[in-house]
Amino acid sequence: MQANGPVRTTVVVANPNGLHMRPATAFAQAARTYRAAVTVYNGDRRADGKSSLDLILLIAESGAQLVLELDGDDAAIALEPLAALLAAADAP
Amino acid sequence: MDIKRGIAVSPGIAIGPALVLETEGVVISQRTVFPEQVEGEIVRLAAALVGAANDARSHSRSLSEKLGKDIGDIFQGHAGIYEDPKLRTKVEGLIRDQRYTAEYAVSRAIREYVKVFDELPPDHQFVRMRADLLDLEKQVLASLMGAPGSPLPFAGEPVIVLAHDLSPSETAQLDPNTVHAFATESGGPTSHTAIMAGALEIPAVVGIGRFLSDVSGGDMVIVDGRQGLLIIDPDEETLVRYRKLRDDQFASSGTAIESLVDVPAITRDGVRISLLGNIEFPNEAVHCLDRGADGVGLYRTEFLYLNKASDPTEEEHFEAYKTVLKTLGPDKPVVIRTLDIGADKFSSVSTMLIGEKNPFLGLRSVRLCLKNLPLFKTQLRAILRASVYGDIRIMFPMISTVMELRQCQHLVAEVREDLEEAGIPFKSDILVGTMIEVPSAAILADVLAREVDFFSIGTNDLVQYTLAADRNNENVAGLYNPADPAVLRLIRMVCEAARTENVAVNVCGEMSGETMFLPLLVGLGLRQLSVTPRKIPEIKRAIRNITVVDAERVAREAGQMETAREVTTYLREQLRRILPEAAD
Repeated sequence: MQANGPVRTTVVVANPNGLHMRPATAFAQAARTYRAAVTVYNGDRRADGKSSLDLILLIAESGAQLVLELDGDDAAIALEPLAALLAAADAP
Repeated sequence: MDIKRGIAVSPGIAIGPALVLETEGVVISQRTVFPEQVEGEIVRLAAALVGAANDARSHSRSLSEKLGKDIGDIFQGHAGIYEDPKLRTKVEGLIRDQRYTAEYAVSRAIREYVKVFDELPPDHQFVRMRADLLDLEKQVLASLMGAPGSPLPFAGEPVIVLAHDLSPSETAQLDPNTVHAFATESGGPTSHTAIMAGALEIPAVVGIGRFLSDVSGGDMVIVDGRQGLLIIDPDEETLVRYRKLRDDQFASSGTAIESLVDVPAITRDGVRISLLGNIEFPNEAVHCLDRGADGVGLYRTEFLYLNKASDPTEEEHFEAYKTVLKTLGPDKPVVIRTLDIGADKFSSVSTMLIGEKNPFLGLRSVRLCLKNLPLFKTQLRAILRASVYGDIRIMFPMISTVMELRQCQHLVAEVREDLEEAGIPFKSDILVGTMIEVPSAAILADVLAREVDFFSIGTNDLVQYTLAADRNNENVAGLYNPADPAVLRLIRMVCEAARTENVAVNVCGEMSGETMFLPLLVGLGLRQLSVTPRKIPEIKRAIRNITVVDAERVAREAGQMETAREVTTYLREQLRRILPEAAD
């Protein structure tokens, strides 16, 4: 893994209600605390991870396979916590 | 420019700004601002978004305490959206590039997002999101409009109301002087929206399907009530064309009415057909008079109950009936249909039945009245008391058995006794009839005929119950057809029973106002029709162009056909023959 290149991981949406307003907002808020650029892909739909609106418009249903991409200094440390939020297993 | 097609239910052309009822009456009054006001709108937007976010967070806190974190989290989600930089950037972009007001920009932006969700199948997980986004729009608009310095609503400018559906209460609230047309996403030709538009005599198009996300309050729209079109944001050429059509329309309608008002409705072979009017409000009685009606064949009394905090008093009923009688004079009949709606529309009994699974087959109309005698008696008393002012008559809707009818008659007798005892004057010989709209009543018409003074065939509901098709459900609207041979047989049955027992019979549903059915109805034996007042001149003209002999032939031939389509094709041909200018 290169220190300065983007890091990616695949995340499956575990939340039975999909990535709806609440988990999307929680994710976006957390994403904003990092300096890295955060992008989430659902197939060919692309969202800025720091925008809850963008994330909702991904229409990521339960079981959807998303790609989380981080690009920046703190990308490495951000990956795990953000991936967990994106899966949103614990959110209602 | 966007052209949407729906069902034309009330003719005419209206051009004007849209008032979108989905935002629950929050009117976006102005679309654009002058260049020097743009920065001001940006500031208003910022403040509104902050305000909405703060409100959401405080809801979140208080609801979390009361109802748990899950509920509170909903509002956290909302707050996140209000604070989303993407939303702010997008709306600001619209304000700067298009010089939109903050309200209009917010609405456009959110409705673009809503469209993404419109494309999902109805059972998709995210379909709820559509409603959430519209709620967010509403909150931001409320935040904007609550602030001082917000633009005033259209001061008296005529608007065109757009909504998913218009309930009777909502339509009852609209001011006929400022609403020039309706267009709705759902609904069919005999839904309340159609009836209201007919009563207000304004153009209306229903059953368009989803379109509200494509329009914002303040957009210029055209409603073409003849072709069933809603045109959003028309281009210049279309606007010019429709303006001309609208102006021509005003010019021609005046002369047609005037020339027919004073001539009688007599067939070419000298048979008189009585033409009465259907009304919802007392002040429509004058439309009936203006059109030369012989009376009011159907006064739908539900509107006395709608949109009220409590049930109308006997006095309110009495005043309404008295007004109509005084308008029409002592000799023209006024037939009052007793209360014909479901429990959900009332204030006093709505707690009785939440969530009936089959409201059309449930406790509504006369059934509801028979279980709520004080309510029923109030109306009956008022009708009897009003009888001193003219020829008022009573009819009961949705009668499905002889027992029901007898119960109603007993009640009338009781009310008579009460009034006599109290020394209150009323006419003792007022005529009492029944609507025939439930198939069982049509089938037993011969038995019912012995117990009433008249029948009134309510074809709207008769068609619905006979074909088991909800007239407001676009999915089955095709089955609902008054031309269906089964319906025609029932009408024939009722007319024959009426003839045998020497009981008067009329048709008061929408079918009576459709010129195509006129020869058929006359041919089946009907000598009285009650139609929406606007249609009286046209029906009168048709009557004057037919002979009863020919009409009977038409009825016989139509009676041999097997499908509604054959009947319709045949009737259209006949209409073309009789009245070339009326056929489409």
